[in-house]
Amino acid sequence: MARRPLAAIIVADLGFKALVGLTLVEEVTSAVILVAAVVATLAQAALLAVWTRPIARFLASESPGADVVRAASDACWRLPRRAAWLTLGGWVAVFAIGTLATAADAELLAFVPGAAVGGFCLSHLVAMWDSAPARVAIDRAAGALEIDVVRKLVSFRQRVTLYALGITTMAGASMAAVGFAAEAFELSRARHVAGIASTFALVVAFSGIGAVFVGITLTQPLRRLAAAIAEITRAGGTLSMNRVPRSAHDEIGTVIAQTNAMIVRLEQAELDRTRAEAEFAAHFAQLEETFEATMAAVERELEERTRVTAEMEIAARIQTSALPGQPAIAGLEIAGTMIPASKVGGDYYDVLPAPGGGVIAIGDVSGHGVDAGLIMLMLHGITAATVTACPDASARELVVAINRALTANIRTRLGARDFVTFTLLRYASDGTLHHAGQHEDIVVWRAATGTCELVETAGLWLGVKPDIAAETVESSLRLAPGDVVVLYTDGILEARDGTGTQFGIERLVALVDANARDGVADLVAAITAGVRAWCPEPADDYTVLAARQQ
Amino acid sequence: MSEPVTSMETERFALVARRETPRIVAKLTGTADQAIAVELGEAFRAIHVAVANGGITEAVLDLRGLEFMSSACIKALLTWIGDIQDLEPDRRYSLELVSSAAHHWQKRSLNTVRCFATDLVRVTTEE
Repeated sequence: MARRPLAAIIVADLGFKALVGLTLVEEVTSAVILVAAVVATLAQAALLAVWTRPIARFLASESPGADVVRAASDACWRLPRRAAWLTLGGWVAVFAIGTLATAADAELLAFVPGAAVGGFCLSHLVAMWDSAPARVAIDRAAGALEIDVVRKLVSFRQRVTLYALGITTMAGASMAAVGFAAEAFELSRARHVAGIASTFALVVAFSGIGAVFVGITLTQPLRRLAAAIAEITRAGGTLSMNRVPRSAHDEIGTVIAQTNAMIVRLEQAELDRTRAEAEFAAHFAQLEETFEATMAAVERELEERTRVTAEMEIAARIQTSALPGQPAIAGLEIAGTMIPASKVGGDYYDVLPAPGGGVIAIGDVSGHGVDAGLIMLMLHGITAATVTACPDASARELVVAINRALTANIRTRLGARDFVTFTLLRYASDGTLHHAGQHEDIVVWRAATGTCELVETAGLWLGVKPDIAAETVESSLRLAPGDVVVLYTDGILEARDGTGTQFGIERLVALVDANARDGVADLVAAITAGVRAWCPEPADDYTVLAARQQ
Repeated sequence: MSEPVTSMETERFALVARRETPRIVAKLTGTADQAIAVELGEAFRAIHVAVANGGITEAVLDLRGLEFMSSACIKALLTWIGDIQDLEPDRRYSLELVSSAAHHWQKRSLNTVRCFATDLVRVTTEE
């Protein structure tokens, strides 16, 4: 390939010079010119052979190094210009010798520039065309080696201008040369016409070749570009296979370069899209997994809530079934409520009329669950039965009897170690209140002073041991009209707010102080509202019971 | 020389039990509400096993730093006492409850607890 520009230039140049020389072949001077032309052309060939050596080395090596690629690229881009200058020099030399040999004729000198410029332009175009494949190969090698080779843009307009200038100048010069020769050497008309015709034919031939060459150089890259774009736009086209070879460094080459850059960007966009799709797919899978896990958790939560709701209903059913419906003892205004928690608790209270008054009992079984619920029901039954069986028994006697029966049931029948905080109050219609059994302090609001007293309950819990007669003491207090007794379980005192602070006895007393003048039902409602506001979801059930001396 | 036996810690409660031969001393601080009753019962059980199998003659429960104990946790304590009662007579050990006069609930509840097994449980109060 490296020899192609050399051979083409030599053949074209030698042929043109020989044709001109043939028009003058009958003269001695023409032979001299012909010899000079041959010598000049051979000298050009020798110089071009030296200049194209880097290209030959590049094309001969299988894996060219960076230095070889750079040298070949440089030579390839300098080659057309050097070939053109050589041709120009050759023509100048030829006609300089011719001028000396023919005693310097002014008209002959006028022929020299035209022939020289025409040869210059044609040589440049032929060398550009012929070295194009080598330049493409060098560009690819440079790209593979990531070598930044210098590119000098030769615009298409420059190339067309050179071509047109060369053809026009060569035709004019040839015509002038033939005319000059006919006049100077008194050629026959027939030879004159033959010279003009042969020159015209040569010009036409070169013009045709040039036109084809220009057409090819113009349309070939465009066809490649169009094919590449068609491949890109085709459904399923692979961008990475559609780099357009940049065979020219003109406007078309710029378009190709921009197209290649666009392809690179499209490839990057495609990669980004593929990556985004992969990431989206991964995220979607993760989202799906999270969604499934969330749904499973929601289902479990729903099941748990259903279970808790069912258990709460059971707990409420168990606990409320043992509570007095309309607690009433003559001489007392009574109201009470029990708020169950999520688990079965052991809160208990009862109001039992008895001769001369009645009995009020309140208790709390330790722990939660089925055992606590059962023990609470046992306590309910045992207390009611004991009070009914012994209507005149004192508070202390009732507590001792209830404990004996309850402890036997807890220890023997249930095999449990639960205990019950329990206080029993025996009310006499004169306002006397006797109490026994250990539970929470009794809050007594005195109407006369508008303040609360805390009355400690002494003794043992139920269920600790069978006989608690020795430890059980009976205490008493007297209620004046309007006085209020408030009984409660530890669920009120232990209710915690968001900071973990317990509701405590002080807040309970404050609520009693603030609401005891109202009806006992309102007082109970105020206390439960206060506890609920403090702790919307209490962990333990709680009970409050209020009785006002009428 | 003491070595750890068991411990538990929540936001509002802590228990640390150490072997201080010939005793095991468990120190409780904070508030023992019903939310920790199950874990507290397990800790008491671990102490009981360590005492019963370690040739220890006495366990000490230091409650001076315990501001409150729910009935569910007292039940856990009673269960521990019941476990002591269930041992063979020669393997039973005594339990000392160290209370503080500053906490009213201790005065009332611990004496009741002692009644559960007066031969095994002793309550001492420090001012």
